[in-house]
Amino acid sequence: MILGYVRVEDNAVVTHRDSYLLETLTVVSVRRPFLTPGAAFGFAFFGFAAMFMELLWAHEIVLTLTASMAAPMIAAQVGQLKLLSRDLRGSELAGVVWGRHADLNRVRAGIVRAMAARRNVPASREAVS
Amino acid sequence: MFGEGNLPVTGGVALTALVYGAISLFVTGPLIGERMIAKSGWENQCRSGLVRAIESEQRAAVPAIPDLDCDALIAPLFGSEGSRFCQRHGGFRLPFADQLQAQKRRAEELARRTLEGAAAKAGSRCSCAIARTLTDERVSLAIAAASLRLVVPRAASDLNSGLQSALGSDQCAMKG
Repeated sequence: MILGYVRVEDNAVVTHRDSYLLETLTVVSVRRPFLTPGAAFGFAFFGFAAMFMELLWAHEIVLTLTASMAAPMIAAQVGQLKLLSRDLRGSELAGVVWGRHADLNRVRAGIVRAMAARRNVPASREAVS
Repeated sequence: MFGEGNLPVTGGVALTALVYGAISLFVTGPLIGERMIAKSGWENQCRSGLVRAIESEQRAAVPAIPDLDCDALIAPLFGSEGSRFCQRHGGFRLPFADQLQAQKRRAEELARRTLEGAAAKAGSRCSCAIARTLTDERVSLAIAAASLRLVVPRAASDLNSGLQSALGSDQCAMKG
């Protein structure tokens, strides 16, 4: 699942907002920006349920423990794809596309393959995995 | 010291801390405070304490009028002889005794109604003290909740003193 879209065309990467020439792209990055906060909230929810167990109703304990497991799992699924080029570094136009981390990673591999083909260099196995 | 983009924490961490702080301040802190008070049974103690205090005040205010019959007037003065006298001659009552008894019953009825009203108001006064304490100690409770009881400020561990002072505050006293 990707919010909006990312397509690799002949000589450009087209997102729902911007288009980037493959020649100018330098970095394609996929991150999990909510992983740390999700893990922190998961720990906090678990700790809250454990430390205040005697003050909580049974359904509240179940709900809190469910949230403690769900928070890091959901956070691990959310990904952010960034398209950076030398010309746009630090500018507002550094593209960001949100979606499922695994799906964005597949798109990243496709972009890297297209960039490598465009520049006649082999894409490393690691870069496209 | 820290230039733009050179902050010691990233925006995500700061935002996470802010959200966690807000949850502790507005949700988990007040929740544990409320539950700690409920568990201590303070509200029931508060209500019964207030009702007892009002009851004893009223008992002192209602005049103690004895039954003005033979047994009440003669027997205490003359002991068993007086009792026998009352049994022999039957009970008699002073002429104004009925009026005094009626007056006593009215006073007792009024006291009973006042007590019922006061008991109802005692509940709202105790609830006021709880609400006020939870508001006053919001930060202490949030610290206790956020730190998962690693840090428990004195105000959060000893809510009773806060509750007592809130109960005596003008804001809550007006409800009683």
